[in-house]
Amino acid sequence: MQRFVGILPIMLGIAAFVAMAAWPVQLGPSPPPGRVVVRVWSGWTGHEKEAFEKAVAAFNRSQNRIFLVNTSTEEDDTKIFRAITAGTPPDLFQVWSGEYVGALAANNAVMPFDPLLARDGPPRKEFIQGSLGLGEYEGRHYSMPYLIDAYALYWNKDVFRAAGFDPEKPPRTLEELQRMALRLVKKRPDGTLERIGFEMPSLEILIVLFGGKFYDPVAHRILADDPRNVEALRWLARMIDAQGGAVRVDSFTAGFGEYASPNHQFFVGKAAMMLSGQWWPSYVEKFAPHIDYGVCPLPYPSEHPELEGTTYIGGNFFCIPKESRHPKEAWQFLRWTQTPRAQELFSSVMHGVPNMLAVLGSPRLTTGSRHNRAFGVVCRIAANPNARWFPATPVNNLYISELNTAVQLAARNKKTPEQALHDVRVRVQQELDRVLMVAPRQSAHASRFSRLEQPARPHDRVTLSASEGSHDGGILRGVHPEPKREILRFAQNDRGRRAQKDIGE
Amino acid sequence: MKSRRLITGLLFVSPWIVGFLIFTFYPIAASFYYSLCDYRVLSPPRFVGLANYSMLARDQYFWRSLLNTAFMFIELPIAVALGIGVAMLLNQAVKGLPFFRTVFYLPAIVPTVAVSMLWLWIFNPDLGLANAGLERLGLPRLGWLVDPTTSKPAFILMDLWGVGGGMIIYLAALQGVPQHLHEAAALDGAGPLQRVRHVTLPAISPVIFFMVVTGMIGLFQYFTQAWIMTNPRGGPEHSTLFYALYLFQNAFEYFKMGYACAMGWILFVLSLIATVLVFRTSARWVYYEEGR
Repeated sequence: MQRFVGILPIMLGIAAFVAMAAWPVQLGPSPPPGRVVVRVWSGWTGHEKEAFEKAVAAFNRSQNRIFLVNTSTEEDDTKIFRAITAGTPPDLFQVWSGEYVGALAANNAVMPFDPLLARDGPPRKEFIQGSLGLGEYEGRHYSMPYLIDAYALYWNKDVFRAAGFDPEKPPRTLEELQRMALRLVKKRPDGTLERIGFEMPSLEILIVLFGGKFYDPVAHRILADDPRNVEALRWLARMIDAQGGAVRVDSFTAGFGEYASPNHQFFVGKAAMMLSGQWWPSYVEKFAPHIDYGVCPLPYPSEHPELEGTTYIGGNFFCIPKESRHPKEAWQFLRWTQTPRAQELFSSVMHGVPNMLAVLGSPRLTTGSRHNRAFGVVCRIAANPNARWFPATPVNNLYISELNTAVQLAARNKKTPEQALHDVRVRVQQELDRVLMVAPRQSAHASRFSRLEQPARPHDRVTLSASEGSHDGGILRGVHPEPKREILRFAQNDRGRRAQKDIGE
Repeated sequence: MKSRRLITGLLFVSPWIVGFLIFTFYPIAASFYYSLCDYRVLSPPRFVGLANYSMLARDQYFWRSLLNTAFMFIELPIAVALGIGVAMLLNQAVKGLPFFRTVFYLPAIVPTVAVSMLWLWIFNPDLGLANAGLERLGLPRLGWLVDPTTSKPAFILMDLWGVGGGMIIYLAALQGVPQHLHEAAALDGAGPLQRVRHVTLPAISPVIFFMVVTGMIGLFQYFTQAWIMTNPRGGPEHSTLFYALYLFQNAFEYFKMGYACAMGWILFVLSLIATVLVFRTSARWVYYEEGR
């Protein structure tokens, strides 16, 4: 008996520990009973995460069937991939780096939206061009942004004044930009840079500005060495050279302060002009409200005036994984995000460009404060039909990494722009061919989506029958059997038949 | 009776065995299998035989990364020499010895990530201390991490700052050198330098051997510093694209997991060959106390 007395507290301790560990604990708001719990993983952190959770709460309040619970992946996409590989992904997730969407689509890890979009989504023409295009792969759409990013030119009016430029006259063409940037460069006596006239953007944005191409989805060809791309790289290399040379410029940019801080180079006068997205006015108000700045559309090459108004579109996208347990409910949330009310709500706190053309001119977002007016300028820029984006391919990470290499080599005169981009094309094409050889068979037709919009001939009609996979025209191929049955079952009932009728006519 | 003891022993060891099989052996075996497959992470692996290896042989970045990693081996003899040198200096009875030993050892306990961030700023070409120091000495400023010719030496310099970790080990070894050997050599007329060469170094040669082998294995896997300090990854003109860095990019950015596994196995074979070589030659320069 004596021996056991000492052990008793230890045993109680272990029992308490095990009980606490095994007790089911709910973190976050507990869902009201009777609702379907949909788990969403998003990448936002800090104040942006709070903004998204406001939107999530608004969605939860707006209906009583679904309860959405958000978890932040802290901008780390590898968490998603690990979850997908393990077979336990959330019901909806956001890919932080858009480069991954192509790989996810090519491996059938995410569901295409097209039948859902056709059934009850807003018509395609109500969206800004890039918002659906960014998630398009092999003719199907695999991702949906909540809001998108659009790029504009920002300039520091104080620096302009000090250098003798008219602060209300930003450069309109790339040639003007080059001239002004060179005059705005300030060097110290020992040759190091004190101020750079134009902070160099990445090559993808410049390629878009020059009207270049990235990818031919029909022939599956990488178009890295398109002549316009070569022009873009040549211009970039010349700019780097003229502003001090690659080593000087790299040394200068290595000393820049943190991006989201008052030490950003634009705020401390180290960069006179730069390209950035629609979030920049909100950063100004947050970190450096005292500076006087302007925003205008991106400059265009003067020998291609038809490219005026081009902008670069990007964003963070939501995808529904193949193994999602509640894809229909996840889709309900995505559908809700594309309503004017939800767009306005999120855009006002997240400072992203709304997807829908109707919301772009909303007075609540674009009038009033200095921030809103600047934001309005970018929204108008985003609506321009010249907007372009980086298409989804399974090898985007490699593609962008190789483009960076090409910039380095061209800027340091190790290769000519033609040679550098040719090498990019060869290497990325090689990789793409390997991937496509083994990727699960995608639709051979370039755009199924556009076929759904056209009047279909009777034998072309997409019949969503109950039998798995046989007559669905391949649209639902790769979808997990359980949600696929749900989708097909929906198609059988009244609304589904009516929607199908609309498609067929 | 004997088999009962065997079974009891095995039972006691079983948690470790199970853990080893699940978390060490299975991943290693799986990675070997994946190296023979085309595995894109999000899709099941597909057997392709030695295709990954033949692709690696034709990949210019693979050879580049191998060369970059091989360059870093220059650091090994310098680190060993420096470590022994500092240890010998700190083996003397000088005033403030504990202070100096602490100061030299401190850099070794700073986490690698913190060291990388610190040296990122020291090496900043415009604002950093390194160029400021060079200017004071009247020497030209260098590009450090921005210039392909100085980027790898910059990493070597940063690693040598942490030589205190090795120094502690050499210090312990030095204090185990038998004093009577020193006295005997001095009686025979050996000067201090000759005593170092013929008494001290052979006496601590097992420790040197250990440091060389572990240092080599560590250099093959050089990753953290390059990952944090180079942007874009791989440094200017891929001058700091180290083997482990390229492997990581292939596995987690380009989704070429089979390719990366093949790279991993090649690294294993190379490390094995290098270690075996050092072991084979050790008989000539490593002296053990048992008089072998």
